[in-house]
Amino acid sequence: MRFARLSIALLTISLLLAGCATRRLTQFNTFAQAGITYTTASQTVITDAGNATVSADSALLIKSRPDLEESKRRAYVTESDTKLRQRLQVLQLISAHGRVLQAYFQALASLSDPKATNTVGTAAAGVYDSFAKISPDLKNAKMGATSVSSFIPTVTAPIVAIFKVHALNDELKLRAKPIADELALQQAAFSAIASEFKTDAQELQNLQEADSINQFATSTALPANWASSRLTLLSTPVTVASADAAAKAADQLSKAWAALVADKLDSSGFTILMGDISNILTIAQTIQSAGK
Amino acid sequence: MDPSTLYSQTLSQLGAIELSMTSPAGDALIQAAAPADHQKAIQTLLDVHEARLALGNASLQAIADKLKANEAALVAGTKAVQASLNALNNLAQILNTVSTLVGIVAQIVTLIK
Repeated sequence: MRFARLSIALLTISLLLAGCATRRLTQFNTFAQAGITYTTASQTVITDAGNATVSADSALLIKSRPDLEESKRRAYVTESDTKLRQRLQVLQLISAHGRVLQAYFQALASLSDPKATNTVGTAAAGVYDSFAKISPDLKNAKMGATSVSSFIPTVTAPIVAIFKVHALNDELKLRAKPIADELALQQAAFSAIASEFKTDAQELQNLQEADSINQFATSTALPANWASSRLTLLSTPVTVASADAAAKAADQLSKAWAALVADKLDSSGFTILMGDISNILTIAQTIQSAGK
Repeated sequence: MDPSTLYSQTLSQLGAIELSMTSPAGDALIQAAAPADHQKAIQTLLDVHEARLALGNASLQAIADKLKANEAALVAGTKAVQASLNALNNLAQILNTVSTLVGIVAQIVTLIK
């Protein structure tokens, strides 16, 4: 009887602890999932920004070519090539760094997965069952009307969850500042990338529009696709929304990290964060499918 | 004024000049200019463009350097979190091994009885 009472008390405490630990694990996990989504989508933005820089440069060189002396053409294209290589290289560095950040978020997501707390519990129940085969007392042990064996995973899961929360909180204490710095840098990086991306994309559209006008203004025959190209040109918005969304998502991620550190991350904070992340993902997917 | 703000303001000005010169209105002015002015305008446009590329590269490189400096902390964090996860996985593995071992002992005990 005393054993049953003790067991029920233990189980109740375990379930209460499990509730707190699961809430904290869920906070970490949602943050980590948002981080993974952000880093994945930001890779697309980096690629698009690099492509826009090269395309705008090519369009400008093509337009300027007839007005440049032949001796200067080589110098301009060579100079541009050098700077474009540097641009792609630095974007590549930022992209490679994004993958390191993604690995961090993935590790956080694995450790904070609230659904994965039962592995140790199931293994512990396995040990108990094996012992129970040897000892009839263990085999027949009951807690109330239920066998002890079936309770083991339920009791072990909160302990595992508490271990995970403890490890994650330790990580949070150790890395609070570097991660906050990292997210601020991500925001700075994507603000700079967005600014350049906007200029390049707008310049490309300007040059195409000026070409279309010049084709019409001169006395030479218009290309057969002039009208359809004009329609495409005027109806296609400049695709830089993804870059703005990336900078905004980095900002939200940074605020969410601060709230996670202070254990003040509530559901409304997560809703805003997930909205921004989902926005950048949708834009990135739209650009990708438009490019196919 | 710190260098990053100066970079960003200058970049923004260069970008605005470039966009203004390549806009349909800017292009119309360049097309209508006298040949010497026209050529000078094209070269100025290319020079502004090259300057924007160079400054943009410097600005992004400065951020990339800071990101790189922060990388060690990220790698250390990933390793620490992974180590905790491995500890849990190892515990599960140890318990599974114990379970198998005890299962074998149970079979032997049954045979002996």
